[in-house]
Amino acid sequence: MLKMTDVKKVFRTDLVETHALRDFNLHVGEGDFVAVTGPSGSGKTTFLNIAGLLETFNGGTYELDGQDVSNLNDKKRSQLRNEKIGFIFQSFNLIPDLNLFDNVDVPLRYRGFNSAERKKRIESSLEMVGLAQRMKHLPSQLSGGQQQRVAIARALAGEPRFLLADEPTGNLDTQMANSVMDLLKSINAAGTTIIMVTHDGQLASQARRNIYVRDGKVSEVNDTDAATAPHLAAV
Amino acid sequence: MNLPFSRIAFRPIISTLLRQKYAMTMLLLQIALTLAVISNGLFIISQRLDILQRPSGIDEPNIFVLTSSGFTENFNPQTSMQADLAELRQMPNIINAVATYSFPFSGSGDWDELQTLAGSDQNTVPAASYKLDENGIDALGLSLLAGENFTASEVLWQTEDNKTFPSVAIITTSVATDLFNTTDWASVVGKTIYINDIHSVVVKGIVLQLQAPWDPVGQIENSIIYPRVVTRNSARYLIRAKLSMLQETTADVEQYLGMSNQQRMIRKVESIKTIRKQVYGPDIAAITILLVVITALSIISAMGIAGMASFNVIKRHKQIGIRRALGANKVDILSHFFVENIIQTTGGIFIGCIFALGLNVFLVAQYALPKLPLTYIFIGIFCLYLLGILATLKPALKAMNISPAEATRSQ
Repeated sequence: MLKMTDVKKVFRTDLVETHALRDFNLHVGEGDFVAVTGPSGSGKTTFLNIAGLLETFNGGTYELDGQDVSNLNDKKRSQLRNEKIGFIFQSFNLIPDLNLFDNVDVPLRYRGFNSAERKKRIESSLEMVGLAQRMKHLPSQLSGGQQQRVAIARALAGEPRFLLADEPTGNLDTQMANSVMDLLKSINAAGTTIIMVTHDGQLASQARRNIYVRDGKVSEVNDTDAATAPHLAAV
Repeated sequence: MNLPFSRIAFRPIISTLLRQKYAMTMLLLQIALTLAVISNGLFIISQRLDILQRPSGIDEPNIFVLTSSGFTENFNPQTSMQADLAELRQMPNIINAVATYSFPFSGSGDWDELQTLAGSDQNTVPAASYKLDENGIDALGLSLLAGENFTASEVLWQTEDNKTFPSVAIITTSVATDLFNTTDWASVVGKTIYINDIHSVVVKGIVLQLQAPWDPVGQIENSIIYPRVVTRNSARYLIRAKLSMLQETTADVEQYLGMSNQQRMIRKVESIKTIRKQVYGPDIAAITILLVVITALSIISAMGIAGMASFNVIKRHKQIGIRRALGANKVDILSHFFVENIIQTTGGIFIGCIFALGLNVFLVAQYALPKLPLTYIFIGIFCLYLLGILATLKPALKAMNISPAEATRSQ
């Protein structure tokens, strides 16, 4: 479903060349819940950006849902990102000027859904995260945990195949972090593939599979379900 | 297929703009003021251009004038004038010459009230009065459409105190239409008209056009020509040179007249082209000033729009990255900023229409300008939308190139 083979990413300035990913190999199957951990600067976020088609890469191949995405133009990448991937960010990344309804509406408009379809999806996704009653509120009127739930609702409204989460509980206290984590697990249980970058080992342990990234490479795989799901192994 | 604008949410953009109360108010007022000034300014410019471009009816490029001023006690103006004109008409590069104190752009002359029936209760038509001999039509280069020119015997050579009035006159088509409500010029020839309810003359001919020397009553096309020459010590000659011979002829004439009679001096030698430029100097200055004001205000407005758009791009750098991450392509981001600009401009235009019409009402009341035609408001609106789009282009292109990876970068 997500297959990276020898993916390389190099950041260049006039003076410095930084190899963020070196021969990065990973295969994630449908329905998986993968936690990506590693020290700061190890390449976790770069991996997530490339996986989410937010950045291009310099070498190797990347297949998303069976499609080679190496040479897609911006329009095609944007479309694929919109249709297949949902994002959850550490700082929630809600648009402060828009109320909850309009925030969740953003990716649905880019998808080209009609008004009735968008309304149905927005209400249903906000209902799912328990915030349907507050859809006219601005993000600033919500707690951090609630904002992250809105971000999850926004990510799920388009029914993506993948959910990419970048430190989704990084800005939350323990209680809220657990509640968000429970929500992610239930989403995964419903069939959505999740890749989560985190520093938190305790959180990572709740995923079905752990990937440890060091120096831009997958250095360790801890596959709790490997026996039952051999396709989840790192390539 | 979805059009780019169909992927943009208008209501949230309006809500966001409304939150920037002070900046938006200033920008809207700026746009509104620009519209008011552009619309009224262009209208005034077009009116001035109409004035500048209207033909006078005379052969402007080839005519020059000069003044012959007798200064001795023995100086005989009529003899001098007749001798001068006879000699001038013989010169090889001159088509014709005439003595006249008034001509288009001369800025002075008489106006008469004309009517078709005698009586003080009749409607009158104002007309500038010219006094020319039988060579006048040819010397001015007028186009005689109907009837005939004066004969030499009809021309009255008079001193200023001689009140004998001629029996015939030539009028312009404009006067003929105003008096007889017809364009059948031949039918007007032979009709009698009354001058200031004192004299009567028979229309002998109709000329296409002859502008008044100045226009105190807004009837610049109305002129009447009488076969009269008023003799004074100071005479003014209007001389029509052959094509492209103006400069050479002017020098020859000035030299000849200066030498031919020592009892007078020649002065004020000017071409009609030069006089016209002087007369229309204030109009040209007004057009220049208005163009400068319109351009300056447009640049200031463009800078305001560009500044606001640039500020929004910087302020929403992360947001743009988020939108890109959520599926917006580059065209979506570009469209977003253009839609935002169109909404701003539309708001400004709405207020600006009120300003523009208000300003026009003021100008109509204070300076007797005509009512502003809606066309000029539409031109102003078009200019402002174009200005807005151009001013937004650079910031929007910058926004378009923000990477979607900005969404995952810390603030």
